[in-house]
Amino acid sequence: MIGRGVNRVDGPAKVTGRATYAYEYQQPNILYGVIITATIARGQIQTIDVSEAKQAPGVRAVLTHENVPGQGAADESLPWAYWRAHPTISSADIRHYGDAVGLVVATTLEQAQAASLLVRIQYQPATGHFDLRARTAEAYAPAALPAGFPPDTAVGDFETGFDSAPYRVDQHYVLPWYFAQPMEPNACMVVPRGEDLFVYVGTQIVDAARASIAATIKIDPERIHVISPFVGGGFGSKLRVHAETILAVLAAQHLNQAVKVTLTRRQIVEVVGARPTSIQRLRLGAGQDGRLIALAHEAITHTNPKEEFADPIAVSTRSLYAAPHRLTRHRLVQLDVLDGEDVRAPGEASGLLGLECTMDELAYEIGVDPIELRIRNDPHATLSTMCRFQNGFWSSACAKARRASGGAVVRTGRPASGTGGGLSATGWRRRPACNRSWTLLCGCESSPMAAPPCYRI
Amino acid sequence: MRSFSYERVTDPRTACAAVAAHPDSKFISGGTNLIDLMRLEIERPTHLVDISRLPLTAIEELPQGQLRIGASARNSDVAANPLVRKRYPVLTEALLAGASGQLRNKASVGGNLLQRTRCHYFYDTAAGCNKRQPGAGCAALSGANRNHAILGASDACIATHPSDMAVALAALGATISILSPETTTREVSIGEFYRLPGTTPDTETNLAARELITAVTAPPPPTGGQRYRKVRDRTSYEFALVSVAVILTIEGDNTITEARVAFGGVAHMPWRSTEAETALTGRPAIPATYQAAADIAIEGAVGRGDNDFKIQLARNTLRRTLADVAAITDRRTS
Amino acid sequence: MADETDLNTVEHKDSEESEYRVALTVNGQLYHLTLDPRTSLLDLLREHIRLTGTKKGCDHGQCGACTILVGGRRITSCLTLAVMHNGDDIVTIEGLGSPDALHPLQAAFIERDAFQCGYCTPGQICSAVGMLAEACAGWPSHATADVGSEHVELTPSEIRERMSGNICRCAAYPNIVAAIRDVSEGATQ
Repeated sequence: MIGRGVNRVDGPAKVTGRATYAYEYQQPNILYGVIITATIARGQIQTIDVSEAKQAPGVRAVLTHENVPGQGAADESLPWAYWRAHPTISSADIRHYGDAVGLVVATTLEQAQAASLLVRIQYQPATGHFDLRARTAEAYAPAALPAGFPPDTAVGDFETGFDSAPYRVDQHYVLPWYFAQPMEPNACMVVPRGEDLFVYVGTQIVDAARASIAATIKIDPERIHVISPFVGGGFGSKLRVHAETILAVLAAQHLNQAVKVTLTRRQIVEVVGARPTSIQRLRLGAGQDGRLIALAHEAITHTNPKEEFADPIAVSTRSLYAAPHRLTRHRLVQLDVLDGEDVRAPGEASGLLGLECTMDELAYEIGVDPIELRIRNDPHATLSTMCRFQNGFWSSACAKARRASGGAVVRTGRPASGTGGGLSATGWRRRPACNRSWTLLCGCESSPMAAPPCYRI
Repeated sequence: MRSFSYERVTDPRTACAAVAAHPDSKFISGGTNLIDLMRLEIERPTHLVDISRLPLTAIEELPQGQLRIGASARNSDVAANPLVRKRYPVLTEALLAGASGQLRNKASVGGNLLQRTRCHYFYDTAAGCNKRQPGAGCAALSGANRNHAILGASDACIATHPSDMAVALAALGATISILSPETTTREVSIGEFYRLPGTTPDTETNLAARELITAVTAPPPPTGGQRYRKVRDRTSYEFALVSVAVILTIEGDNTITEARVAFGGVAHMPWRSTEAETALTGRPAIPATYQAAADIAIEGAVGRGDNDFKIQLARNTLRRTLADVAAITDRRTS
Repeated sequence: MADETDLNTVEHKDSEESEYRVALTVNGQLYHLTLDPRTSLLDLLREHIRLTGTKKGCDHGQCGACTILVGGRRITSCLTLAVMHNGDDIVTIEGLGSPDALHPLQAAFIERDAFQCGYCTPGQICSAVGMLAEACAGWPSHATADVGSEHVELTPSEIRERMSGNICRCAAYPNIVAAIRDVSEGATQ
C-alpha cells in the first residue's frame, strides 16, 4: 500500500455531503448559542444589561461573567497550552478587541442572533498597547519556548566571527500576523447525558479537548466524551478549544439541555488566536569558499499578557546550518491584542522564510549559485543535538533541486527580484503511537493532526 | 436580524403600493446585498416586498436600436445575452468582472445599481459612520482608507460605490426607468440617479423609498472598440481599486470622433469623466492624447493617506486602456 | 409545484415574530414547512430539513461552501431567504449522488484527490455542476478574451475564473481543476 495512489476512504462521504462535522449532528430539542464579543480594545465591562435580551422571543439563557460558574485556571506548568483550562467570560476584563463577553441561547438560530444584538454593554475603556514596532524596547526573554525549547542558544562567539567574515549580510524581515482560517468555523455541540457530557467538536487533538474542558469546568475527564471524526480544516486553530466549546459546555450544563455554538467567520479573528506579527533579524557571515562562519537569527513577536505565547521562529535554524559561531534569540513584547497561537508550521513558516531569503542574499553577495551555497553548508556536521539527518539526505535533496532549477543564479534588473532557493524542514517528536492509533490512508497517524497533516521537505 | 413580514408580488404597480402601505419596508430581489446588511442590522426593514419574480426580466432591442434591460434580469443573464455581448461588450465585461458566478446568478440589475458601499467602517456597527448614523463621524477619514474615494468625496464620507455594471452603464449614457406609486414612470440618467456624499451621505440616490426601478435603457452605442478594465488585488472575485470603461470611435485619419470614459472605485458613484471625453474628441489617437486625457480626468483627486496610490493608478489605467481600445478599434471610413 | 397562494402567513405573534408556509422541492422531494422568514435557504437545509451536506463557511456569500442549484443554477444559499424560494426546485450535494451512485463529478473528485478536509467540497461540486451548464450554454467569463465570440473553450484558466467563487483553504485547487477538466473533457477512468 505504501507508495501506491489509494483513494481516500472518507472520499465518498465527503463528496456526497454525508461526512458529518461538529455542528451537524442531529439532536432533538437542540438549543442555539450565539457569542457576543467586545467592541473595545482594552478595559472593563462596566455594566451589562441582559434584560431586553432575556425577554426576546425564544431566549432560554444569557451567560455573562456575572452568572457563569467559577472555572479552573490555566495550569502553566503543562508544556502545551492545548491541555490547559480555558476559562471564558470569567471576569469583566477585556483583554483585546473581540474578546468573548457573553452567550445568548435560544430555541432557534435566528432568535439567538436577534437577541444577541439586544445585550447592552457599557465599557470602561483603558489605554492599551497595540504597536509591536513602537514597543521593541520593552522586549523580554520568555522563560521557555513551546515544548520547553530554550529561548536563546549560542555556540562560539557570534560577534567576533561575524566581524571577521569576508562576506556579510544583515537583513530584517517583518511578517504581519497570520490566521489559520479553516473553511469550517470552530463549532461545538454539547449533549448532557446524566453526569456525562458528549462533546461534538472539530479538534486536532481529541485528548487535549477533553483535558481542557475537564480542567475548565472542574470535573473528572472520564465524564467527558469528545467526538470528532471529521474536522473542516484546523491549521492550528483547532489544537485548542475556544469560546465556542467552553460556552457551549457551560450553557449545556446550566440548562441541562443540548446546546450548539459556532463562531461566525468574523468571530474567528476575534476569538481564535493567530500567528503574531514578527520582526526577524538575520545576520550571516561566510568565508571566501561560501561556508558559513557566523549565523545569528533573532526574532521579536508579541504576546497577550494573560497567557504567554512565544512563536518558535528560530528553532529550525538551530538544526539547519553548521557554522562555528551561531546565535538564536527570541524576545517577546506584551501587546493587548489577540492571543498568539500555533498556526500551520509554527515558527518554521516565518523563520525559514527569513533564513532562506537571507541565504539567497548571501549567495548573491558571494556570487555563488544559491543551491550550491546550501550544498557547501550541509548540516550533517551540525553540533545541534536536536536533529539528525539521514546521511546524504541534505545533499541529495539539494542535487534534485538543482536539476529541477537549471542551477544558475539569475538576478533581474530590478533590485528586488531574482532567483534563489529555499529549504523547508520540520521537526516532530517521535513517540510510540497510542494503543488505539489508526492510520488514515492519507498516511497520517491519529494524534495529533494538523488537518491535513502534510509536511514536505 | 430583526423580524419582518414578507410578501411576494407579481406586478410592478402592486409592488409600489405594497411598499407605500408599510412604513420601513424594502424591496428585495436577489438579496445578495440586502440580506447581508439585514443580518448585521445595518438595514432594518419591518416588511419585505419580494420583487424577484416580477415580469421585468426581458433584454430587448427597441425600435431605435436602444437596449432595454428589465430591472429583474439577473446579472449573469445580461452578461451572457448575445445582443449585449455583440453590441455592448463593455457591459458584459463589466458584469463578468464583478462578484462570483453564484452571485451573478442571483443579483438583479436593479439591485446592482442600488447596492451599498463595502467600506469596512460602514459594515462595522461599532465604528462611527455618517452613512449609517448621520452625525456619527467618518472613521475612514483617519482610519484604514486604502479602498476609499479620491474624487467627489467630502469630510462626511469617503466611501466608494462598488458596482462595475454601473460604470459601464454610465459610459454608455444609460437611463433608468423609475415607477412611482402614483403609477407614473420617469427616466433618469445614471449621473442624475446617484448623489455625491456632500453632508448627507446617508442618501445615496434620488430614488424615493416607494419608487421601483423597472428597467435600464442604453442608447445605441458609439461604433468602435469598447473595454472594461478592472484593477484589483486579486485576479478574481474582488472589488476594484480602480476600474475604467472606455469606448472610442476613430476615423480613418486616426482622429477620435467620440469618446466615453467612466471610472469605478474612485467615488461615491460611477464617475463619468466628460472632461476626459472632451480632451479626447477631435484629437489623434496617440499616446500623448491619452496622457493628456488621463491627467485631466484625475485633476482635483484627493488622497486620504492609504489610497494616495489610486491617483496615479487611475491615471495609468485610463491611459493604457485608451491605448488598448484604440488598438482594437477599426478606423471608420466615410 | 406549489401554488403562489400557498405562501400564507400562518401566525403573526404579539411578540412581532411571524411565520410563513413554504413549499419547495429538494432533491426531488416536496417539503411543506412553516418558517421564520429570517431563515436563510442554507439554514433551511441544514437545520430544518437536516440535509447538512451544504456547508456554512462564512454566511456572507464570500466562500462558496453553501453553493446549491436552484432551477439548475448555482447560487450561494446563505444570501437568500427560504421564503423567497416557495415553489422552487432545489438540488443539493446529497441529490447529485450517493456513495453507491456517484455523480461523475463526485467520482472525479475522489479519483483526483480534489479535497482534504472536505468542508468546501460539496460547494465546489455543486458550483462545478452549475458552471459546466453555463459553459455548455456558451456563457463567456472574465477570462474570455473576446466576449462577443460564440465559442467558449474551458481551458484551465477559464475553469479557475469560473470557479473563483469557491474557496479551498486546504489548497486542493490544482486537483479540483483537474477533476473538473476530466468531466468537461469527457474523460473516463
